[in-house]
Amino acid sequence: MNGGLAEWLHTELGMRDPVTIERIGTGHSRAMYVATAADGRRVVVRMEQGGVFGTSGREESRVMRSLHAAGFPVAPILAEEPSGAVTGHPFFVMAFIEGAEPATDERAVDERTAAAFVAELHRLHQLDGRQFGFDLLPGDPGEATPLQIERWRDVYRSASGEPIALLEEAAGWLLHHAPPLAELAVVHGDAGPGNFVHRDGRIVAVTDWEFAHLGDPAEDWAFCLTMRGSRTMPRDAWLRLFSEHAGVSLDDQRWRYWEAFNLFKGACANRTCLRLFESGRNPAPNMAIIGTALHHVFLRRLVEIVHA
Amino acid sequence: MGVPGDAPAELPAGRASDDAIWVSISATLRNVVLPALSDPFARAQTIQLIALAEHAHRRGDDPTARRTAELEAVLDALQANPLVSEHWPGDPAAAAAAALVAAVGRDDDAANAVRALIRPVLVRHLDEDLASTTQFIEAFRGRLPA
Repeated sequence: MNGGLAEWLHTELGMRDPVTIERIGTGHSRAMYVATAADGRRVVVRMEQGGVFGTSGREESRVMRSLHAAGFPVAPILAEEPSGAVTGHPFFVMAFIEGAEPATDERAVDERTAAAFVAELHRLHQLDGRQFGFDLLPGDPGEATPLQIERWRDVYRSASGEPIALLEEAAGWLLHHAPPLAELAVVHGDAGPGNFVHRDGRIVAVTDWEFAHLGDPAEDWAFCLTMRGSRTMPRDAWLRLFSEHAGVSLDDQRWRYWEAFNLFKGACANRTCLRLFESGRNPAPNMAIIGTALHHVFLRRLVEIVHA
Repeated sequence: MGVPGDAPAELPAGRASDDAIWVSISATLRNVVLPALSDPFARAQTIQLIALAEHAHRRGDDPTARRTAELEAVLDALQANPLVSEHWPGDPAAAAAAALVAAVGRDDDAANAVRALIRPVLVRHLDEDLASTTQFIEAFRGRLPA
């Protein structure tokens, strides 16, 4: 793969030979590589992995271009190869963004950085994303959450041989209890520590946009609070930052709803990995683990909320 | 190389057993391959592969048939329930799903009976799955399974 990719980068972006390619991170839905040219120029290649999580790299790159044009901190997209002809998987290429030296735990950030991230996420939620190129466009704000629930239910159904009754019940519960939404926001969908690049207490790039969509900002706040940020700092510290830097204050019932929504989303998305593993399209062991154990963990916690 | 006299009580019948092959894969990955790796991605994948191999060796029989029979028994018991009778007899997973979805937001006897009888069976099956894949979670976090 590396030879074909290096040649493509040379042709498309004029990267000087020899181009060396190194895999970075241990992400699951996309493989990430840093390509370095002979003159030291670096770019990042973000490559699909056979349809993991049912998300699309084309939509992701389209939205990133729009965000960049709107002045939001994302890496500029430099090139795309959507056909899969070069490496067997579609990919896009973005600028390399220099961040702070990564900590052992990518989710460990200091409070100043966390506050900067909260402010940046709040700024994202204020953008008008209706022209950003999202695949799903709700007719009005009230349709956004049901549309996302149905999206994720369809994703799991397309990956599963038979209905998962507890997941179907959860979808029904989420639809029944969906809170009203007055205004559509750009939602990151996987927000929190580990998905931004920071330097000197500033957010220089927000990353990993594959789950971005139009919806309710509460989804992001709950995701950061209960998932990505849960080991970064205590819940009360996050709630204080949300309140101080974004004016966010939700009641317990609302937090529980959005935690359930995110668990549902995760349980559905994770199931796609088992299908890819079973079909041989992605035989990596993490596919089996995400598609079974992680799916079970998400579903179990979801059931606790729905059955409470 | 083994010598006569080293043989176990039950001699192999000319081919390596699945058990022995799984043990070999796990031991080789743990003791030979993993210590030789420095690349973080390769190490993470190898640890996960070890968990997978040990799971395949230990997980026992496929519980699908037993679980289906348990669910069918519950659905039979709810045959007269209007939330169930519309979908059962039929595919048990689909019937259980449809009944639970139909019960959402309702607080009548039919909905309560569906929740009271179907949920515990499904949650028990889920808990069995969780227990059997616990070591996957440790491996996913980069720790070798015990």
